Amino acid sequence: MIKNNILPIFNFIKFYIPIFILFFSVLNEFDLNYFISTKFSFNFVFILIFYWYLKKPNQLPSGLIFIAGLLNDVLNNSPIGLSSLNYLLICVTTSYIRHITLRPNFQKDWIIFLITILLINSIDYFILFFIFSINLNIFNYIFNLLFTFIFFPIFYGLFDNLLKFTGRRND
Amino acid sequence: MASGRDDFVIALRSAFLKKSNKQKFSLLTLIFISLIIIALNKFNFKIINILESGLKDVIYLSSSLISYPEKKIRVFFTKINNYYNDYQNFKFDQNLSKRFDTINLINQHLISENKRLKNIIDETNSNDNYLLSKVLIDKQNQFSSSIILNRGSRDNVELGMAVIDNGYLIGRIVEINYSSSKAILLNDINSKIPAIIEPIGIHVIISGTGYDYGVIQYSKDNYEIKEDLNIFSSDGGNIFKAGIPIGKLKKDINNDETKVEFFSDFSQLEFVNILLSKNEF
Repeated sequence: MIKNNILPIFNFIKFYIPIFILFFSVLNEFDLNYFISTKFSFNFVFILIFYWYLKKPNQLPSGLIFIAGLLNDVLNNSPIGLSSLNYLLICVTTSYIRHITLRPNFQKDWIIFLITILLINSIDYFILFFIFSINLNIFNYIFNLLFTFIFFPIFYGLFDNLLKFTGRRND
Repeated sequence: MASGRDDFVIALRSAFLKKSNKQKFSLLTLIFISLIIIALNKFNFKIINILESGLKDVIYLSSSLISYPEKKIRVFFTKINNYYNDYQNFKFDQNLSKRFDTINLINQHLISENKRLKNIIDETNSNDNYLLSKVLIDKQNQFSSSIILNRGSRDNVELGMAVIDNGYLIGRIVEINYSSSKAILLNDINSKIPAIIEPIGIHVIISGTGYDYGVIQYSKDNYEIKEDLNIFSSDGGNIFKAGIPIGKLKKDINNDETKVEFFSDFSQLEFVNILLSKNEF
C-alpha cells in the first residue's frame, strides 16, 4: 500500500529532476568563481536548457524556463525578462534543430551549441549595452562563453546518464 | 529549391509555435511576453516596479535558503584558509599590537581635538548610527557584484546609504524592499564613487572592474599617483560621509596600472553595517 503511494511521487520527482536542477542553479549563488579564479565562470543553465530541450523537451516545460529566467533576472539585477528571452531563444534553436535532424550526434550538437550561445550572448550584450546603457566588460563575456563551450561535453555526458535514469520506470 | 525552403519554414514554424501536450503557451508567445516585460522595464513602468518589489522579498528569501548549504561549505573553506594564514601572522601581529596601542591613543586624541575644533567653527558633527544587517545573498560574478541584506524600508533604510564592513566602505544601497535591500559593491563594474587619496588630498573617482579590485577612473588633476597611499570616501556629490577607509593603491606588476586594493574582502561578507546617519555638511 505504502509502496503504491510512494512510487508515483518518486516517479514524478525523478521525471522532473531537470526542473529541480534548473531552479536550484538559478536560485543559488554558486558560480565556481570562489575556488578557481575570478576570471572563471560558465553558464550552467545554458547547457542544461540546451541539452534537455533538445533531448526531452517534455521534462523541461518552456513556461517554467520562462519563470526561471525571471528569477535569474531578479537575483542578478539585470533587466527583468532578459534571461527569459535568452533561455527561450535556446529553446527555439534546439527545437528547430530537433525538427531538422534525422541522425543526431554529439559533435553536431556541440557546434550548434556554440553558435547558439554566441547568438544569445550577442543579443544579451546588445540589449544591456545599447538599450539599458549598462557598462559591460566584453572579455568577461568571451571567457564565460569559452568556458561554457568547453564544459559542454562534460555535462553532456552527465546529462546522458541522468536521462537514462529519469527515463527508467520503477514499478 | 522550393521544397528546401518549405522544409525550413515548416521547421521554423514548428519550433516557434508547436506546443507539447503539457504546455499552455508556445515559445513565440513566451518570447513576446519577455520582450514586452523588457520594454516595460526600460520605460520604468509602475506595474513592473510593483511586481518586482513584491516578488523580490520572496525570491531573495528562497534564494537565501537554497544557498545555505553552499554558504556553509564556503565558510568552511575560508576558515581553513584563514586558520593557516592566522597562524603565520600570529607572531608578527604580537609585535604590531604594541605599536597599535600607541597609535590608537594618538588617534583618540586627534578625534577629540577634531570635534573640539569643529565646535569652535560651528560645523555640525554627524552622529553615526549603524544598523547591523545580515547578508542574505552574496551574488558576485564578473557581470554584477551585489549583496542582499535583511534590512529594508521597515528598518528606515534609504537609497544611497553607505554599507560598511569592519569600518571599511564596501558599497551603497541601490534598491529597497519592505524587509530586504540590495547593495551594489565597490567592485561592481557599474559602481563609481567619489574618493580622496590621502595624505596628498587628490580627489578621484573609484570605479569597479568586476574583479576583486577597483581602478581610478578620473582624478581631478593629473598628479603622479604613488603606491601604498590610502583612499578614503569623500563628500563629493554628497553621496557618502567623508573619511571612511576604502582601500590602498597598488601597482600592477604586469601592466604598470594603478589598482585600488580594497581593505575589505568582499567574498567574506556575513554581517555588515548600514550607515543610517545622513551626511550633514
